[in-house]
Amino acid sequence: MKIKMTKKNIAKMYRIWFVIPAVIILAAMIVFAGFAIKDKDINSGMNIGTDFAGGSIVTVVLGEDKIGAQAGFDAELDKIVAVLQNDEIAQQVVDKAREEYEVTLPIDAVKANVSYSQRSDSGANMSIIVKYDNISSTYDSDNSLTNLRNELIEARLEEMYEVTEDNASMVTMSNIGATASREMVKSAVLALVISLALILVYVVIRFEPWSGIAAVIALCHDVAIMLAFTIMFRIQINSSFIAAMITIVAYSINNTIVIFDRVRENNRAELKLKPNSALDNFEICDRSLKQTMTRCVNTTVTTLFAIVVFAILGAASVREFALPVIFGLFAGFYSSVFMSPALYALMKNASDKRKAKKRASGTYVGQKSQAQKD
Amino acid sequence: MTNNKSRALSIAVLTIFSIVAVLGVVFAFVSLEDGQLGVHNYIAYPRVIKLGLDLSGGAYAEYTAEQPEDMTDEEFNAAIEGTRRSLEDLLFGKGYTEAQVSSYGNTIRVEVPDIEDPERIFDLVGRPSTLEFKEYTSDDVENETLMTGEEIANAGVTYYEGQYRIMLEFTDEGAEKFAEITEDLVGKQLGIYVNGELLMAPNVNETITGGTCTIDGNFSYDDAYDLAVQIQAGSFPLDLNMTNSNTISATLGDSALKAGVIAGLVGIALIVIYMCAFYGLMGVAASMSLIYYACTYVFFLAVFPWVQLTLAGIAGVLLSIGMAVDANVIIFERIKEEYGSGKSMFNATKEGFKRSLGAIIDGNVTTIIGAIVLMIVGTSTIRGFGITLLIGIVLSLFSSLIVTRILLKAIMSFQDERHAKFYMLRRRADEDGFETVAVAEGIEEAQLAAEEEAAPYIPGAEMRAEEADETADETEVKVAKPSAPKQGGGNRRKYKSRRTKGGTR
Repeated sequence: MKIKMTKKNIAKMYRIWFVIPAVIILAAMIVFAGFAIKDKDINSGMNIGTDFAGGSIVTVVLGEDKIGAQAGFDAELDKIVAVLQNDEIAQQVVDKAREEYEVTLPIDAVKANVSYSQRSDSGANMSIIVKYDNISSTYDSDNSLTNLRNELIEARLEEMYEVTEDNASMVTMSNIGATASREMVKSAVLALVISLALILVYVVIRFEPWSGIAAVIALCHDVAIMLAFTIMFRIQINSSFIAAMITIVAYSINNTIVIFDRVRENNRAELKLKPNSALDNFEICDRSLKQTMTRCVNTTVTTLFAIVVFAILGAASVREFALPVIFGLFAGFYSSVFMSPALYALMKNASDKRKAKKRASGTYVGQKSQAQKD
Repeated sequence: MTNNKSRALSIAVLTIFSIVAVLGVVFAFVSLEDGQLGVHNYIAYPRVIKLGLDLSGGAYAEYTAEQPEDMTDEEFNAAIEGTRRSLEDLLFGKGYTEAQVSSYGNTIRVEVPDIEDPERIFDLVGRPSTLEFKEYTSDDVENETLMTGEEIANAGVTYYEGQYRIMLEFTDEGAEKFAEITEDLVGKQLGIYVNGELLMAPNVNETITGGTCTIDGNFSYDDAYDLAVQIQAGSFPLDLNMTNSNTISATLGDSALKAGVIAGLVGIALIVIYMCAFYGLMGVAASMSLIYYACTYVFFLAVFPWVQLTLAGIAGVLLSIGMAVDANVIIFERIKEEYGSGKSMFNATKEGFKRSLGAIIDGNVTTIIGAIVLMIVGTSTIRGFGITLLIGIVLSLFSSLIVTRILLKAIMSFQDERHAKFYMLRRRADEDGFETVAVAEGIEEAQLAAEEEAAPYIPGAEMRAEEADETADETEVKVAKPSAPKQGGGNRRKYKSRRTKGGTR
């Protein structure tokens, strides 16, 4: 395979390259707003997992008599989930909210979203543990509606499994706080910001200030695009997602650096060749990115192989997680190849112009030291 | 002849490598039971990797805390959060980076992955209890409480002067208090009480001011460990009662793990095919070192504590397998370029490794910076993830820079210039217009020479620089000639037009 390269200056077509991500982000904002308006709740804009938002946990213990030969975990789980999303229960909660608290809430905001389920066996009994989200705090600041809903669900489940004092079956319901809490998000964001700052410092030292800024903007783009796709596809945002985002940032910087390394090399060669002429930044960036294009494509392809297979083979929950990573890989490739060289060239051009102006009014010595510096 | 010698060496290198790689792969899949081949119960090393709650399940325990009467609601919530966090830190310290501790109201739920017996949770975090320090005079006399467990930051086991000791680390406040207490009690016994019962009563030999102290008592390691856990469990700000505990299944089920393993294997296979198709024998060298990389990575994941693989972790490992060949791709592309610009196969290889080192180091240092920040700043899950990432990067650098190089050198020693096509190396002057850099290098040298002549710098050097350019052009033609034999002397124009038009030829 040989990648055929266009003769056009890719770096110079930056207007197109900047518009596409802007459109994606805009679309995500519209989706976000749409969901927020539909549920009349800003928290519904994103699908936030229970490990951030906290939630409820229901444990259903089934005695030996309840576990038939054919009724396995999955079948029972389906039954329980059906109760969690039962229309009648939701309607009762909505009615009660209107009567007692004078709030009108959409029925979808009441239905529980299951975040995960577990099975736990002790002796002949089987327990099914299901975690699901609470009613958004926008409507339910003191959890009274959530508690009401949980009571109704508990009653319904007890009825369904004929729980009595004599048999081993049992339904317990409890609220659960956020495991990943605000603190985890805070520390993840902090880690991200500190790494970006350090990466910036490193790139500025090893390359140029403009390369550093362009690289960091490209990384921010990757994060934004990943988040945008996650919002659009309603993928749950949980601690795994945060980890995925960090991975993408860590790997995307590689692509950018490789291109800037080539820019640095080409700049040097060019300056040696013509020490006193101004650099054509767009041309150099274009040449550099075309020289490294094969490598960027190859690396992105090899990285995609395993994760795509993973997404295809895995169950829904795996796919839900692998998708943002795949989006992230594409975003990383896109920003490294199409955005960061163009950003660099734009900024470098502006700074060169300023320098040229200064030089025109400055001394000749300044020019010499400039040439030596590079 | 030296050629024979180097070939013999290459055969040795390739043989040793193949044996190591085969063993690495075989031991990844085969477990040996007791007695087979005289080995004591060997478990395939990937199976030793600890897994997170989502992949393997584990056990949970729920604790409730009573609100002490002298505590306001606010203080109580703060104490619950404090307890939650110390439990999390405690489990992290024991290598359970993916343990989850959540709280709601007065309930704290601890979920510990990768253990099958809920009792193990108590081995890990102890049975949360109150801890008090009192003067010990006799079993019957109860003296006033001098200090509580809250002032203890950490308790562990150390090995010092031939015996295991319990080491206590105090908070800043605790260190001061402990110094005062021990000053008063020199020569007497300090009783350590757990839930009101005497745990031990070591003699105080001297005033202890450093903020840490060790307790010796001819402990076995296990005894010291148990006592340390007990003391640590007493350092929580609240009394906790265990209300419920049981095992839990994986939240994602077996399928995720299976999918991960298959995806890894298929991914490696696809990368091997891709690299071989793209880079020929160079790709073979890269593929071999990729297999080596995959085995060592998995091995290190199994060996390192703090690694608990979750879904995110699996994705990270899968990505890192793809990224591991990245450095090789950079190098091979460079070799292709260098070869295209007219260097011999061996020189091109040498130059390719040398010239791509900068990009590889810079790219990986930035990733390493990210990983280290995650390890320092992040909370438990993120920290564990940083460790996984760091191991992956360091190993991939080793395999792609050192292992691939040795293998490539060994493979190349069997070929000569005529076999360049097996390495997908071609000189395509008509297709590839990117020998600029190599050309520019020639100019660079000429330029340097010219600059030396031109020194010291004097106004008017402008003209001299022009001269230097002329020299450079001559050099350029000379250097670039082999790359474009049919183009004759048109090289300079070609280069210039490329530069001004900015397209590729």
